[in-house]
Amino acid sequence: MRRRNALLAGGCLLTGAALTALGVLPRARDSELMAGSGGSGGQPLRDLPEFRSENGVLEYDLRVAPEHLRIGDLRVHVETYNGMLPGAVLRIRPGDTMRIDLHNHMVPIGVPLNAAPPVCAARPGENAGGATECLHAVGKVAEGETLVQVMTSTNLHTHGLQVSPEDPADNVFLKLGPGESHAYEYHVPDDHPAGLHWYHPHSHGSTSHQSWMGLSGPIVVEGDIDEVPEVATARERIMVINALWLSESDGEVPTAVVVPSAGEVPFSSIPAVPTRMVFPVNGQLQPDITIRPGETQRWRVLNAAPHRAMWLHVEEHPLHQIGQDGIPFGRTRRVPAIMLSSANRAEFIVRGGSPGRYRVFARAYDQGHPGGERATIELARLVVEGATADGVVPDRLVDPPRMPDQPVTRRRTLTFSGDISGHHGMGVRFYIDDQLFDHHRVDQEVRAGTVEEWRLVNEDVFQHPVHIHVNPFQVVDVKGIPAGDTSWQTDPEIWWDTVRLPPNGEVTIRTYFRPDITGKTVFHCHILPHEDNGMMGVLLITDGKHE
Amino acid sequence: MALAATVTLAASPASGAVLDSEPDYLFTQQHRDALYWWNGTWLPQTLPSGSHIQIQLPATPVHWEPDLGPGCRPTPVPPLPEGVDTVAGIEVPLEALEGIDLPLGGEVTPLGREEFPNEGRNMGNSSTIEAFDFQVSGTGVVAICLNPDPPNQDPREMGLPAGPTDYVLTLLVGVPQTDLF
Ligand SMILES: [Cu+2]
Repeated sequence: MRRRNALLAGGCLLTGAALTALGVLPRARDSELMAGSGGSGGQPLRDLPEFRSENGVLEYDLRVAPEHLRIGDLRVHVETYNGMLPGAVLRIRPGDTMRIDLHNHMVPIGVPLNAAPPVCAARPGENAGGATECLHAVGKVAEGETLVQVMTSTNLHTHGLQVSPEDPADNVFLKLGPGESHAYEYHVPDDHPAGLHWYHPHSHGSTSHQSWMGLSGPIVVEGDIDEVPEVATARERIMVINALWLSESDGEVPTAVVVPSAGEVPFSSIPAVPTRMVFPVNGQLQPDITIRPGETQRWRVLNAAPHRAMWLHVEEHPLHQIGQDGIPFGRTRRVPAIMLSSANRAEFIVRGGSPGRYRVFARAYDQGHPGGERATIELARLVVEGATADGVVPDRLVDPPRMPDQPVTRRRTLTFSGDISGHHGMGVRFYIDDQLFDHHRVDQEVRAGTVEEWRLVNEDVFQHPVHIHVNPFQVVDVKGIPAGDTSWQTDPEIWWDTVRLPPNGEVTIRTYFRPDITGKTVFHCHILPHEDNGMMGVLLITDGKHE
Repeated sequence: MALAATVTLAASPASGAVLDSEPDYLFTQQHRDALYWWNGTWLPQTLPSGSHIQIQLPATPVHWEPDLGPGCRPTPVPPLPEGVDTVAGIEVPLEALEGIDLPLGGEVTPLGREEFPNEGRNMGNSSTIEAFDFQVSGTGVVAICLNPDPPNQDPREMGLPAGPTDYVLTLLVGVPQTDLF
């Protein structure tokens, strides 16, 4: 009995601690906090601050630290890049050197106070069985593997940049804990395509958590397409769409184990806390984007949301697309809408129509999440007003990159699957070739300078958007597009760095591993809760000269 | 403990009342109480009195029926594996805990149910999600039980975590934590 009493007292102490913490924290006391619909709307869309390379060099200090922000009528408390959501625009040119000093000043925020922290919880790849899991808790603290430690570790990925994946460049295997810094240096190749790329955290286990805080920022590589006259004269608007998953009580992203759910909010957590999902554009809820009738604007849109696919529509305005995933087209393509999976970028010309207010929205779509279709999101308003202009939509653009005319060296098949039932332990599990991510293992070894075709087979209804680091690819075959689903763009000329797989379908990509970049990197699903829970593999690009 | 108050389970049937709000707390098959991490912490999660919760479970062909009767109790603590008698360094008094009945104290009111499509989404052979809304109020431990119909012996086939094929959610109600209530 003595031992039983001690245990029960321990339980009560935990409750008491939680209550005390609630009482002393200033958070959750503010009645305005998270109040209202979440949309005040109607502010003019802001341009993000920019930093540009000078004399071929861009040096930038990037400090990851918590900030209290107001988004619409919501107050949020999230980690930010230099206090901003999203981060500033970095502008570089082919041949430039970019140096980024990343400083991790994160603190654990969003730790739910309504349950004992699940320190005994398994992450994928670890022992997920039974009460003895708790015996490993001490070891996990030592290895930085507890939930709070994982969620406050970070690093930096320059998504879409064709740069070395090795130190001191785009090494995503780094893990910087709070208080740690790292000096990144990237050499942008002379032949780098001109377009919109981006930076975001890529520390395995916390990428979704940190993306749901809005940690993201655009990288613009300038170049040939900027000199096309109709493009050069169009007003440029860079737009970053974020998805913030926020606790109703404190405007923080739950530091908890994420589980998918049906209904209005697509995720819950263990422990469960009341949350909502909001979708700011450049950190603003439903801003007004003004344009004159007949004026052309160049929109460069990034979907930085870690999960939601954005089927982007501008009411009564066709989109004249000039680039995808940072790679320009040879000719403009007029499309009614553009699907942006997580991480995709689209660049297009919008020409103002008749005066009026038009919805800019992500149309309801079933991307495979439990519960079916995700609801329409009102992202912004296009306000057409003012004197008529005579903007011209370009036709011919630039010479896009070419796939080298050489035989396919090797064909591979990769299968994508998952389990969200909890059968293998707390949380979800997502697999490539039936394996969870293991950074010690090399899953695919390729030779620089070769062309390969990868068949990406989806054993899920989930439309996994597959991202391969360093080298973009073209889509040579797609199977399994659902009947009547008009959201797919399958032109084999288009270059992508992230492409989604049809439900229970497949995509075959052809890629060229550029000869000048070797090293160890990754490929993964860019639904980041999938990546964090296993759906990533190691890609080793070896030097083709040694064999 | 004040939290262990009298048992007042409301067993009123779903009234068909229109739900006027989205649930505050979402629970899935992964939140059920018969899981080792819950047993490892020895404490169900807390929530304020008056919370609107929803339980979502993989369904079809199996359907779920709520049971809030006196037989609905928190799942008993399972035995530890052979030869293990400590958890995180704490000696576990198994003989005292096995079959322990947590005193119940809160109140559960059914608010309604709904169904979502879920064909082929990695949850066993289920093709829908059934969702059950409740209001929990008062102070103390509540248990909410859902039983599969027809009974099924294979949790994996049902899209459930390993373990039993019925569902029990155990919560500690009456702990303020947000300004919504
Ligand atoms: Cu995925």
